[in-house]
Amino acid sequence: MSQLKRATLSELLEQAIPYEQWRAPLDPRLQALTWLAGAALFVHLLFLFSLPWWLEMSRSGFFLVGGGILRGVFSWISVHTPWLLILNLMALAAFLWLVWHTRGLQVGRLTAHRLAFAEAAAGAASAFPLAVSLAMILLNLILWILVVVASVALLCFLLGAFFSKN
Amino acid sequence: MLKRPTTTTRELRGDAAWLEGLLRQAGVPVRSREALVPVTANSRSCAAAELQLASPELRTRAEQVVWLAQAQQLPVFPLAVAPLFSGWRLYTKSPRYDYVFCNLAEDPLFSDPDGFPIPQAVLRHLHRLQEAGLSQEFEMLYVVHEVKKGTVRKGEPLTADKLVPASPKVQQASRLFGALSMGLWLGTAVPLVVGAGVGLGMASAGLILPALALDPLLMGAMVAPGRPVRAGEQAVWFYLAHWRYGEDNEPA
Repeated sequence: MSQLKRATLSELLEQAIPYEQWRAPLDPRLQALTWLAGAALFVHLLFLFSLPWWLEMSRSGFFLVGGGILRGVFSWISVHTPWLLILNLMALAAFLWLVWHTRGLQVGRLTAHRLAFAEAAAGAASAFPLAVSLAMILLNLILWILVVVASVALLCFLLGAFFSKN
Repeated sequence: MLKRPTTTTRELRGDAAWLEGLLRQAGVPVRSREALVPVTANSRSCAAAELQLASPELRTRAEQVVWLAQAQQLPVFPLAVAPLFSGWRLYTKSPRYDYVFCNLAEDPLFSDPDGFPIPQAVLRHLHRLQEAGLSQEFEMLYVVHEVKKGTVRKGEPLTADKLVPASPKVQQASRLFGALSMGLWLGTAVPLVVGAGVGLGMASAGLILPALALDPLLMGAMVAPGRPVRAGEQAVWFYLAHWRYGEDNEPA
């Protein structure tokens, strides 16, 4: 009979980790928001590359309100683009590592949960300027729709008044 | 919980008497015949194992370990005399749980990239065993994993996730991180909510599996001096430590 595979107590102690840090499934909210953070970081990366276009657009006459705020936000981002780009790429790399290491954000050690939270925070931070931009665009879009609807209604009223007089 | 040894060493005659004497000396309220059952459950013959109990050299070694443990006030005591085996064996006769007897070197947790999970308090106890020089006495280490019935089946691969429940502390931390992340993302969504009346709705199931408190047991096995460490070799099996996953562990 062959010799048995052996492991010593020293080897066990080297391999041991505290059970208190042993892997557990990611909280469903943390899991969902980390995925969302990954998407936000990717969109933010595209946003940084297309920043000149956004700056140009913020100067257009489309913005009835909040154009100044938006230009201010974009200008601040354009000044800090190199740093933001580095942080964004690091966060994206960490996100990919986390996805690989946690079998698709399923299960991980305490460190993985902490990193997932950091990713969710980074995602939220990178989503903030996007959310502000989107909010401004939507707000102005709604205002433009209101302006158009009000103009059409006014035109209809005037035409109606004109034809009813005749 | 072990009691402190109270009896003095006396001459031990006969294999059964020797083992029972060692157990008594170590202050263990377990009879050798009962202790033998789980370890030898899958061996060829329990009776044969009992008849071929330890050689005089092996007895001496085992007695030395008991005395050394006593001197250090460490709860290390013999559980059984049984042959060594390789791989893992499944014991399914218990009504509530199944037990996986596994050679530590072949335990999937031993080669798990995340490490072998052991509660902090038990790790300190194992360090004490090592410092006392007891760890060198055992040629082989075995782990007995208590698992839910039917979790492990013969013929199927033994995986780490079948043996260890998720850490409740990590689950708790994860819930906290989930709640904080939700707060951050809702904060991000405020401009959208205020500016365009767009709300974000996120449902979360919040499903956290209750942590199971399962019982691993770490055993050391020693063979007679000069004997080869191979499957089938008669050895004395010692209790080294045990713990419960999923709850606070007091030092053994």
